[in-house]
Amino acid sequence: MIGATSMDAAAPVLRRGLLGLAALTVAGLCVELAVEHHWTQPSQIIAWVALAIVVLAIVLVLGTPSPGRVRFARILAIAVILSALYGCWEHIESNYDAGVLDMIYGDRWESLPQSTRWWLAISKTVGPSPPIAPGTLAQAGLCVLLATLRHPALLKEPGA
Amino acid sequence: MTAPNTHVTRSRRYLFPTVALLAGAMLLAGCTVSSTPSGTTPSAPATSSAGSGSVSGGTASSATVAQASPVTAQASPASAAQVSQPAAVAQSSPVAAAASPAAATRKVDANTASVAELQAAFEANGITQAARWAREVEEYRPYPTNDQTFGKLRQNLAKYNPAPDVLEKIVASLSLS
Repeated sequence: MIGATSMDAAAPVLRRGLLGLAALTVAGLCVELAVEHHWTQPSQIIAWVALAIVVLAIVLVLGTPSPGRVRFARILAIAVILSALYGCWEHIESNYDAGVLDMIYGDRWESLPQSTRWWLAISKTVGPSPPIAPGTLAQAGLCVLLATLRHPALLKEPGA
Repeated sequence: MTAPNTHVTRSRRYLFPTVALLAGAMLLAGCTVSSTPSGTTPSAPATSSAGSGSVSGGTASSATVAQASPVTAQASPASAAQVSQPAAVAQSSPVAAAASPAAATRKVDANTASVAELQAAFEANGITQAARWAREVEEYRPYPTNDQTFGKLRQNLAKYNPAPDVLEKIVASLSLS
């Protein structure tokens, strides 16, 4: 049975681990986006902005932050998660739009049922964009968000 | 000390399944990203082989186009002027195509032509979805001027899984200067 004391001792380690995982995810995504030249369209810049926001959120939670910093980091993390969901939608939509260019489905794209077209886009059967890849950004945001749960800075507040 | 710990335990009891589900979904997303390069890889060898000139069907037609295009450029020195008049090009090209397919190939500069000029050239050369392809060609600029086989363009357009003849027509419609 794990005592409350050992749990309390483990919390900072887990918190730092989550922040480290978020930082690692950001580093990996930077490389991935750079290799993919993920800046050829204006909407692709959103991913870079979101990465910068994750870094900012990590920095805010590091050390002994004030309650305000932790709350702001939470807001940033949630914003990043939302931007990741938007990224997933953008990727799926761009695949859908690229359906007409596909060698196999292009000629009959307009005659396919909507559900089939969307499935082909979601499954990346047509189009160039990996639909769930932006989810990695959400993972980084979620790590930061989890690192703020029951954060000592918030527990010290009156009424916490 | 006891009361806060009980509170924490209850909170975790309710929070943990949700967090675990979210974390699982995110991990799956991470796996998808790591598989992304392999997902795009199948198209890459075909592209690179076509670009490097190794043996393939696409390469053969690419070489044909590459041989034909200088002739086209010599036979039609006014191609630059035709590019500046897209409507005229589009109207005149079907007739030219019927007379001589090689001479009918309209070329525009891959790095400097506007989307409208690209689209007009593609339409003149019988490429379907000309407007979409014009935007894609513009998106992946700049193209190295020493890459006359358009390896970079081929690599990027291959992600859209185009028909080989469409890809060859697009490349044949472009020049580098």
